[in-house]
Amino acid sequence: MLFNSVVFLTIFLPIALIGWYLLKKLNTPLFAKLFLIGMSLWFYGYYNPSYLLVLTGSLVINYGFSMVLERIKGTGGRKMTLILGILANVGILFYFKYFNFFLDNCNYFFHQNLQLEKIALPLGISFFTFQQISFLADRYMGRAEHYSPVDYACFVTFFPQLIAGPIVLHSEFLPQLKESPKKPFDKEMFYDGAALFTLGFAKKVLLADNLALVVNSVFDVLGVIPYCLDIWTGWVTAVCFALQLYFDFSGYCDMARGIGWMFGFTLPENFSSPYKSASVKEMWRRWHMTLGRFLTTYIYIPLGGNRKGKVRACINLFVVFLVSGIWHGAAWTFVLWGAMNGLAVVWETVFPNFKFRSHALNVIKTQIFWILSLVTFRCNSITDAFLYYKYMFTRPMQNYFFRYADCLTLPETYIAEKAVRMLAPDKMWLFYWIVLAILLLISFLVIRGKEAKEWIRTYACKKSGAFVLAFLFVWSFLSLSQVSTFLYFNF
Amino acid sequence: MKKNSIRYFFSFIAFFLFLAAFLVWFFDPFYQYHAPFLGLKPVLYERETQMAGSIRNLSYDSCLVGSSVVENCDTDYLDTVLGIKTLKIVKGSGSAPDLMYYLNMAQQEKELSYVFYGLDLFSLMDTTEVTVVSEYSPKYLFTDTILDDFTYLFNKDILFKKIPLNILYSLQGKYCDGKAYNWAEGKTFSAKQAMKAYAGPGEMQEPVDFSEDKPVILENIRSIEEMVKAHPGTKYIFFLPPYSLLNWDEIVRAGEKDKYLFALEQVFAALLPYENVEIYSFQMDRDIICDLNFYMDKVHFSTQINQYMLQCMLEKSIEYRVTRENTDVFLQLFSETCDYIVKEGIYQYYD
Repeated sequence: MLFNSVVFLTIFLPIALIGWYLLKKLNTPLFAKLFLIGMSLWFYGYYNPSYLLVLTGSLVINYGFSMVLERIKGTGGRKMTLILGILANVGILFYFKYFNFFLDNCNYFFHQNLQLEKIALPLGISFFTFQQISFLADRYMGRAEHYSPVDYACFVTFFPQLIAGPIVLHSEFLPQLKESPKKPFDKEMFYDGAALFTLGFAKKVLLADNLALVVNSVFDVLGVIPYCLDIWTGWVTAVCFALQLYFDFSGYCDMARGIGWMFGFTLPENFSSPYKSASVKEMWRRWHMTLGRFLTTYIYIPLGGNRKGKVRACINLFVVFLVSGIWHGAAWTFVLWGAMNGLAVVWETVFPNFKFRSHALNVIKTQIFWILSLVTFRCNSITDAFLYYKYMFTRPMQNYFFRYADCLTLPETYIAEKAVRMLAPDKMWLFYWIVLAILLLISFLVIRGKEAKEWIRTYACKKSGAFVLAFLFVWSFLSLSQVSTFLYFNF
Repeated sequence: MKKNSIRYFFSFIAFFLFLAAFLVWFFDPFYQYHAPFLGLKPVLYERETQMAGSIRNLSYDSCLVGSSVVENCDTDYLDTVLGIKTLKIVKGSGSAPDLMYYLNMAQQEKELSYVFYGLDLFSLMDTTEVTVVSEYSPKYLFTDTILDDFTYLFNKDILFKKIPLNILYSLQGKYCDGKAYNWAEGKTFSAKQAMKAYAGPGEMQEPVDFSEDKPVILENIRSIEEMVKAHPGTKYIFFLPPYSLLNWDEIVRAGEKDKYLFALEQVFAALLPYENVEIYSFQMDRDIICDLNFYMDKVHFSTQINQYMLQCMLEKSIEYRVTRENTDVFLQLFSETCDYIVKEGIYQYYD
């Protein structure tokens, strides 16, 4: 189920909230927790119930490993259990996400003719797999207790974070779950949650989905119609994609955290104004923070972190970014994207003073690098990515963009567009340019403005703030006639 | 303070949602609830979404039914001459089961005086299934209740596109009354344009075995006959529109002439016995079908032809009217004209 869908907003969420708070009033929290698990499974299996087998299978296997870790006391046995647990998780992830990629590469590099399997990628498998690997690692290190099966299932399946994160640690969620029966309904937290949800909803529906119209109209035809690119089109589209990705994913995370608050849970932040970063390192401290935290804690540090000298630290960093790249998708484009970011971070580590004196210039430099790296992220193949780079740097402006500009036919501007078409049909290009400029301007203002939680703290308690939030909610809600999916569901 | 904010937040949401739903209900561009208020004229320009609502809620006592080739008929002419109020009921490709679905809907709503039915022979051959009420169409279009209209009442496209467009067209008089669904504006009708739609005469194929198509054809004709029988007070005027020689050349060369002849024969046999039926056949008028300047592709002709057909039908033109006595003449004409087209007619456009 999507957060930005009519069924979620009008049926699922009200039932889930009412059921949760009513059942919490019972003497035993068990029913409220079972209800929450049931709702989460409904949420997850809404489009494809067969995905539930993967989710529940993964959950049962990991709980089994936790149980074994509880019983075994010897270090060797515990280590072996952890290794088996990690292998089981990585194996499931490998099969569903990377098996065909692996076969494809075997066929290519070793001239084989292995048949690709028809494997549907279960939603959010990367998220709940990483979440459970972190739990097993913490169990091994004695940082996590063996929770009850109901508590554990609540933790893994909690629907706001299930499909696209944030990657929540057991230590962040389960203590709150334990405390939750004692906590009364917190109106202020509920309202803040509704406000945060609304801001995320608006980011996704009003900004990301409209930017996607431009992005898709160029990237989706890239392999087919390469002549659609020139310097102008290439740069504008790449900027639009960087903005789309941010609003899409951070919008989702705001919605997830907002729903968490509405249920009385605080989920970790995933974004902290990443486009204000002045270095690639800083960018990754602000972008998809819970993934960065996972990779640092469970890969970078176990590899030795920076404790074994600068060269080893650089290698470790590069490895972490390669893993991050392949985590995002089973394609060489993601590996290359990870490698580009890894190299940039290694460069900044080796040459920490190689930067501008001006903070603003460093921000611009960092964002240009980020936008360029995202071209590889978005392209369907490395060949397409190189083609894109080639044209965005070398092909003189031929205004291809205006051929695609009619993709920006938005309901909000429809009447103005009709009027221009009737009164000055030769000025349509100007009209589309203005629409795009307004969309980009709003996007930049949102990026440069206050963070969502700050905005809520400052304005949501005012009548005018409530008015703005309600207006954004209804505007976004009315936009659901065309439902879109989130980019990060596939990761 | 926050306690009040929650109240404001949900109150504002309720207000905005109510406002959105009220505006959609009031202007109702798909005519799901009522005919237009404030003296606005009904505007019909999107048959997929407006058809069901217009049948249920607009004022009319007669219908013009058919595929896209009847959309350019100016029904004001019929209304003026016969003193009726005609609603166009159109389905792209003119699928007989779909048109019957709409027509039955209309006949449940009103006692119709006249039904002008543009009968496309090919529309009898495809299927006996109704396709308009499919999983791709919003279900609310076909139900009377407001309870399933959620996606209509709370829809940005309806608010920002359809409502303003309806008001604009209504004020301009565009797509109103007899001009409903008219698509002729901006189209080029010429031999050059029409021939772009045809790859040229191909090899002549052996006659196809259409025994599997016969039950479909007969079932579709039977359902039309049932309707005619069930409404003796309604005058049914069936007319066979004149498709160009390009279309007939393609059909005959594909070996399908006998199939069309069979369908034509069955239509005549089933419908002509009824007192409340008249049939007019324009499909083999060589002056029309062999002059590609009337066409923009293989089948779509200019409004001039639409108007001519309406005139002929109202004048009960003997030249085009099929009766029980002259059925054989029309069947023979069909056969001869098909042969003429493939042997001679088509080559006036190909050296």
